[in-house]
Amino acid sequence: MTDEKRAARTATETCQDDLARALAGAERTNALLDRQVFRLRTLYEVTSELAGLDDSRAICEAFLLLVMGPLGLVSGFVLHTDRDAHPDEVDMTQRGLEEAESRRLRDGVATLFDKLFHPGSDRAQRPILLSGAHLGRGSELPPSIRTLAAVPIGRADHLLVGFGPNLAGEEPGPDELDLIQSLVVNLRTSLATARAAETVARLNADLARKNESLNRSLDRVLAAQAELDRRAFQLRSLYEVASDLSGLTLPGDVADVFLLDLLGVVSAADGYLAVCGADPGATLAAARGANADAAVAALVAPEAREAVLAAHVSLKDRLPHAMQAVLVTEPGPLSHLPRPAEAALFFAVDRDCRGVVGLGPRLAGGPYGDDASFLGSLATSFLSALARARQYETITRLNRELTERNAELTRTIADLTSARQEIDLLTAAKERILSLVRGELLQAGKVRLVDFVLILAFGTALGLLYNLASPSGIPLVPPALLAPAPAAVSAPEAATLLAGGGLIIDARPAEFHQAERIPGSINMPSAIFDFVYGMHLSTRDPELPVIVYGRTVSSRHDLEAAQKLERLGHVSVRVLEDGLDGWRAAGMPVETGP
Amino acid sequence: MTMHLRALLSPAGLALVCRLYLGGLFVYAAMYKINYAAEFAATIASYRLVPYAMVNGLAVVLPWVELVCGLLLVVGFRVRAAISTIGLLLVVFTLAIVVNLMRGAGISCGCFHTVEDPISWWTVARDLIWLAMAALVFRYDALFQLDRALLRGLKEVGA
Repeated sequence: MTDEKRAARTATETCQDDLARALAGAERTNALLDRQVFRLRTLYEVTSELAGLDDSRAICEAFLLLVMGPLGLVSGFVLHTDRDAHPDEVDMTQRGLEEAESRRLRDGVATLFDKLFHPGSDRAQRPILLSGAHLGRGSELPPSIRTLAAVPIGRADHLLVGFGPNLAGEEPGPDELDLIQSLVVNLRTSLATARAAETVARLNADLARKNESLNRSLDRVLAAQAELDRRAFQLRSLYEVASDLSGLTLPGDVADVFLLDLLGVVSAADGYLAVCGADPGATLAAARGANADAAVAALVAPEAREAVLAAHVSLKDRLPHAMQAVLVTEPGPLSHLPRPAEAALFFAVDRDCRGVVGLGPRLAGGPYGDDASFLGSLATSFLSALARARQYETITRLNRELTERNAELTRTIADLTSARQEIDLLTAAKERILSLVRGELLQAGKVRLVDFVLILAFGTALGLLYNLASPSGIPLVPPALLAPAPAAVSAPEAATLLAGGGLIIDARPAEFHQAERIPGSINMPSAIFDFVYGMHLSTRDPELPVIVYGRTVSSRHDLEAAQKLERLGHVSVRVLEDGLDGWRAAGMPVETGP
Repeated sequence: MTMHLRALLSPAGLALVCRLYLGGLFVYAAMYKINYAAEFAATIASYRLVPYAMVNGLAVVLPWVELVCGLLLVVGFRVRAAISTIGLLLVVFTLAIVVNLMRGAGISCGCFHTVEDPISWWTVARDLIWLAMAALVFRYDALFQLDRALLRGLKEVGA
C-alpha cells in the first residue's frame, strides 16, 4: 500500500476519531451532530470521490464542486503549481469567478506563491488557512475571496485554494473552516496521490518506452550477432578453401578440390566447373553430384568450350577481367552454358583462360545473389590457386626443357672440350712440324757435318756394292799384301847374289826404269810382264836367284812381280829390301838416263 | 729474254751455271772411273802419294763420292755440302798435281780418261778455275735448289 493511500486512511481515521468525539458530545445538540454528520458526510464524499480520481485537474474540479456545493459557496479556485516539475505550468481550476478575476489570478500566481510559501516547505506542514474579507484587497486575489488555504505539497509543489463567500454572503464559520481545512488536507493528499499516480504512470510509460527501445536494441544485437555468425562462417569457409587449395600444384586437383569445397560451403546439390584455355582440347573439367562423369565428358568436348565462351560473351560489359569472377543468376547468360545451372560464377584467369562454375540448387541458405561477394571471394581464392598451379606447370615444363637443354649443352661442351684438346694437339703438332721445317729451311743453306758423313757413307756404300757386283770389280785389299811375302834381301846380299849370277828385275813402269835403275836390272813392268818374261826368263834356271825391286809409296810392283815369278816356278825369288833407295843408300851404283 | 739474261748474270745466276757445270763435270768424270776401277787404281798409284793399302779402296770409293756430289750439285740438294766436298777434292787433286809436277813426273791427270795428256801447269790452272767456281757456288748459289723446292710448299703453312 502506498504512502499516500496510507495517509488517506490515516486522515480517514482522524476524521473518524472526530466523529467519535462528536458522537460522544452528540448529546449536546442534534443539529450540531447533524451538521457534523453532514460535514463528515461531505468530507467522506469528497474523500471517496477524490480517492477514485487520478487526474489532478479532475481532482481539483471535483473538489471545488464537492466543497462548494455542500458549503454553499459562491466561488472558489484551486491553484496548483509544481515549479520543479512544470515550472511554467499553473493548474487553475475555478468556479464562479469572473473572466478578469481569473485572469488576474492566473497572472499573479508567481507573486502569490512567493508571498505565501517559503522555500523548503513540504507536505509535512499543515496548510495555512486564512480567512477574512481583507484577503481580497490584494491585486492578485479576487475581491470576493474570503478563505484562502496555502497547502504545500512538496518542496516547490504548492496548492492554493480560495473560496468566496457563501450564498448568504457570510464568511465561513470555524466549523466550516475546520471542514475546509480537512478538505484541503484531503485535497492535498489526493493531489499528492494523484501526483504520485501520475509519476508512477509516467515512470511506467518511461519504463515501457525504455523496454521497447531495449527490445529493439536487443533485436538489432541479435540481428548483428546473426550477421557476425554468418560472416564468421564465410571467413572460415574462405580460410578452409584457401588452405585446401594452397598445397596443390596440379590444375586438375585445384579444380576438383575447389568444386568440392564450394558445393559444401554453399550447400548446393551438384555443380560443375570448366576451365577453357587457348587449346580446344585442353579443357579442364570437374563435376559433382548425379551424372558427374557424364557432365565431365560433356564439358571436355570442344562444343562445351564454345558454349562457355559464348556464355562469357553474352555477359557483355560484365565480362570478368583477369583474375576476376562474376556471379550470374539471370537465366539469359545461363542458357548458353553447356549444362544447366541455377547460378554460375564466370571467371577469367587471363586473356586466354576463362571458365565457369555452374551451381545447382541450394539445399540450405538463401538465394545465390545474397552471397555474391562471398562467392566472389571464394572464386578469387580459386583463381589464385589455379593461376599458381598453371604457373607451376609451366615452371615444371620449363625446368624439364632446361634440364634437357642442360644435358645437351653439357654434351656439347664435352664435345667442344675434346675437340679443343684435339685442336690444341694438332696445333702443337703443326707448330712442331713448322719449327722442324723452318729448321730444315734454315739448315738448307748451311753445311752440316752430317752431310759430309752421308755423302761419304753413300759414296762408300755404293762403291763397295758396285765393286762387289761388277765383273770389273777390284779387290779392296791388294792380293799382293795377303799372299805370303817373298823373302827380303838386303842390298849387299843382293849385290852378292847378283855377282853370283842372279837376276835383278825392275818391276817399275818403263819411264822410271829409264830415269833411274840398278845396273843390269831387267825392266818388267806388269803391263808387259809376260812379254818380257818370255824374252828373258823363261829359258833360265828356275833356281836362279831372282831379286825384284821397284816399290813406291803407292805400289808394290816388286811384290806382285815376285809373286808372279814364284807362281811361275822360280824358287829363289827375293825382294830387295828398301828398293832402289836402299840400294843407293848402301852405296851401290845406280844408273841414270835412258 | 733480257730478264733471263740479267738473271743469269746475277751472282746467283752465275753460281747456278757454275754449279750445273761442275756437277755435270764430276758426274761425267766419275762414270769412266767407276767402270774402269783397275785403271783408276793404277792412276792413283802413279801419283805415288797414297799408301799402297789404300789405293784400291780409294779407287773404289772416290768415283762414287764424285758421282754423288755431282748429282747433288746438278739437282741442287745440299749444295753447300756437296760443293765443299768437291772443293776439297779439287784442292787435293791440285796439290797432288803440283807435287808431281814438282817431282817432274809425267803422269796423266787421270781425271777423265786413263790415257790423257800428261799433267802440266795448265792442269793446275784448270783445277784452280774449277776451285774458284766451286767457291762461287758455295757463296752465291740460291736458285733451283731441290731442298728449298721440296720445302717450298711448306712456306704456305707459315714456315
